[in-house]
Amino acid sequence: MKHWTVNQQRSGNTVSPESVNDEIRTSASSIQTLDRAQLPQACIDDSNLELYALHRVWCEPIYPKDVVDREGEQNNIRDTSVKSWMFAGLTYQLYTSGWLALTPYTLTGFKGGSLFLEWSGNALVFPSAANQYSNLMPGVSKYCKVRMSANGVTVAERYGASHMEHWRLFGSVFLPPGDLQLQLEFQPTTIGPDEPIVSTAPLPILQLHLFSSKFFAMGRWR
Amino acid sequence: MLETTTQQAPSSGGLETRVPQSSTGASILTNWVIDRIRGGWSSKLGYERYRPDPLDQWAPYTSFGYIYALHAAQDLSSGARQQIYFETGGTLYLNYEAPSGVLAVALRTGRTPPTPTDCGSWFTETPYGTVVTNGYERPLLVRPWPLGIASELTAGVLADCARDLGFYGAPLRPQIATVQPRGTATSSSLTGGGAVSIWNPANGGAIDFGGMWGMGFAKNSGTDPGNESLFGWAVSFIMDTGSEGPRSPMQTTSWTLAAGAEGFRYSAALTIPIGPPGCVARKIYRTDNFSADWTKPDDDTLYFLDIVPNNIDELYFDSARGRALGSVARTVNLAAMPAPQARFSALYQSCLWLDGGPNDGRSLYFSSPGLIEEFPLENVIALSSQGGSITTLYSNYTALLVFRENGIDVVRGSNEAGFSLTTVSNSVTCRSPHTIRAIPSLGVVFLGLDGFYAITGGLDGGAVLDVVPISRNIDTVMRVITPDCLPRAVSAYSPLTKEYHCYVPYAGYDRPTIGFVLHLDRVGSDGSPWSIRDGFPVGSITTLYTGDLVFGHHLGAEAGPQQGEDPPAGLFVISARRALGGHLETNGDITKYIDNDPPISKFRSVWLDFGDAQILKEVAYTTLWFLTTGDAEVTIKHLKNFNQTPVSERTYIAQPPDQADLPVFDTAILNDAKYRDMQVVPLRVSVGQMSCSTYAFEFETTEDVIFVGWEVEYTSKGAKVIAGKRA
Repeated sequence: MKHWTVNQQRSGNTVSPESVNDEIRTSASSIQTLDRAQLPQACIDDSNLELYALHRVWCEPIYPKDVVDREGEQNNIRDTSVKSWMFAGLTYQLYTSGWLALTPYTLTGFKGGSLFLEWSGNALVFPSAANQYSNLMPGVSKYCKVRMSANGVTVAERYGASHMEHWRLFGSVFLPPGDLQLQLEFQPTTIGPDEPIVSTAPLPILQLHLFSSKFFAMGRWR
Repeated sequence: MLETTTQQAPSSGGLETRVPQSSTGASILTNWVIDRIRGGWSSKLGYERYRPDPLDQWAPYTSFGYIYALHAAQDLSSGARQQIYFETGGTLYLNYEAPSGVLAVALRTGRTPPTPTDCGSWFTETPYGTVVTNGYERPLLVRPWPLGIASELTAGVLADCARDLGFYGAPLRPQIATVQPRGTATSSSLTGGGAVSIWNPANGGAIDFGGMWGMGFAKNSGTDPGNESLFGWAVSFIMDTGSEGPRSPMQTTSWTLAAGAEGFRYSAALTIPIGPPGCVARKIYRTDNFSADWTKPDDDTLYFLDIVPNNIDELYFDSARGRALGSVARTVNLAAMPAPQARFSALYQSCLWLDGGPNDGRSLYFSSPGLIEEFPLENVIALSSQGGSITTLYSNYTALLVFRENGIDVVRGSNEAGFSLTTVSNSVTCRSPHTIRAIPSLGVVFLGLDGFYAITGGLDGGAVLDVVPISRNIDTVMRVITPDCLPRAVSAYSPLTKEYHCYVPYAGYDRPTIGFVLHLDRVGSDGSPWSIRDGFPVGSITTLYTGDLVFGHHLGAEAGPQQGEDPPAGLFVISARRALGGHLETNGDITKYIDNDPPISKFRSVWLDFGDAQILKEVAYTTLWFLTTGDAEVTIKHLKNFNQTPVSERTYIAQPPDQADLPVFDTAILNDAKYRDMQVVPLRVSVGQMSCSTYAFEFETTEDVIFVGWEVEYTSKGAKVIAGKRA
């Protein structure tokens, strides 16, 4: 905070403690309490800022990475008994219901403030999954719903991709300081009574697969 | 040894000009502050430029004249974002300090400067920005955030910082493109001429979410023309304050289906008006089908349809079925800005209150709670003719004070329960709006016609509201205020120094020239709490977050060149700087700011009659209790019997009389001298005064002294003054 003269000493004034302390105290207070809203233009640069003083970025250009040669793919359900030209992904036989979460990621060192999250990737929702019995009834579109949350706080959620699509989900939220558990979740549209679950082979039919997933997170606290 | 009687004033009181005076007051008390530590009167004051760098000279205020309005708005907690607005020469400026250097950014030009009988602009803080009114131009809503560096302050950016408050009127009707239904042929195309043919399958199985879109009848199994589909739309603006403006008139359109047509309902295409600056959304309302062929003939009730969340889009497609419409549109009739020339405003019970302005001085308008630009038509209070026009508004505690030309009214209540108006005074008034301040432990203080008053107490819980005079002691000084220029008086309260400052036009001047200072530390004690501030060129004044008082110069460039240099102009801060501002001096190629001399601090005691003025006394000694501020020189003078010619005694210094001198700056040796706290010491002066009925002493100084109290020693043989003169 800016201050003006609190105690001006002149020649001949008594050398008392307050004659020096008052002015020093307010000057020191002015310097101690400078914050971003008061600083002059361009007086702060990298050389006098500690790492992560203003913000921090977490970024995984391919995620999850816990299974070799399957980085960026969902590994929650990999049904390898599907036809050979299908992704080994979710099938009606192995997937029951509910949200499936990729491997959780910890955003360490979040200092409290605004958290921006972005998650993107590709999804395949097998087109035939939209068909009804014998193709005599209108189709019902199927989607890959996606949701991302931090410490249980949902940041964004959307209906997601259908057929073969790229999707992108982003949002911001204010959170208190502390390490954050990032949850990236997906969920296929549930099936109805007239929908195909097996081919004539009979082999399971791919329902959904998610791949080339990546995320970006940025925390800003000043 | 001479046997004397002593009269003491352990703590010297404030200014008292009305006789008889109390024994501890002062006849003259000019340019003093209360020393925070010891409670005495300190001469350590002055003022300095707001921008202290000597090389800056008066920049960026060099060309500015009389600054007649000044306000510091707190925009962010901890004072991190403090906006200082000031007005001069018809332009409202922002004192912008974020870029390197300080800029005076013009927010709005072409404003009418006040006449000598007018006050400067009035500022009211709201959650949405600062409302600025002056009784001439339309009220402004100012919110200059965010702003970038200097090069980013373009005209467009600045136009967003200050906009007109409220709505000019109802929006224009939306324009509806003619709805042209399809014919019976599968490929019929009957559009053109500005018509649209936007069809929506009526069958629920036709498309995903089928049957949910489109308006009107879907089938005409009769002959031409079929049943009529008749709809109406209206639009309102939503401002960035959340307020909704009056609704536009309704615009309708209708269509019929050809005989045999079926399978499709239709959408409408609207061209909606763009809102004024500050508009962030348009709200669209629509009726259901109110043709005679449907179930609600002539029922043109408007329902909420949609919000267009911007002020850019002009084209809106309406495909909503009747069952998708929202709630019924509000029946509250909203007015355009009811007080386009409001002079004063206040925020009370979450409503923004405006007076009607010079041409409508007895009307009081108020907004909806929390929505400062929404003014329902019925939200107006007409004041009685007795009391005159409104001279200012002030929100305090649980009431809104309405000052009028000849009285004071109070508004109480709430928007839900209703507001009521009560007159609390028919005899006291305030015509100096900028002197009204809420002062701790006193109440609302203001300058009336004949002095300062305080509104104390309240109207709730059995409390009593009272209007009490608080400056009776200094009535003689009050009389020389330029009466017609009372509206130009300005004031501010500093919680830092616990002082209420009020600067008034004096002795015929048309702008503030002298200040009255109420020292809160002296309120309630014996003696007056007032002193005078002289030599401070205050045109307008406000309080910063730190409690410092910043003021705008009352002359500025109007004073003309001084010794070939630019005269003082712009913003200054009252501080402990030992200077009355400064001046510019050029030395070679460099022009620098040089401090002026400090203010003259003057004290004269009351006229002491020691209990009986007709008994003659011989004063022997006058002792002043000073703090040992060092080698500051004090020359005491004394007067008798109301004679204005003082007699000087010797000059003394503020050092202990019976000990070694305390070390002082510029002579004390480092590592040798020790820091010493100041002590209260007596400076005893022998007074060579012959007998007198009344006695006073005085001194004046530009040095740093702290004066605590005094005592006078006298003798008396009991002789009395001779009889009075015969006519």
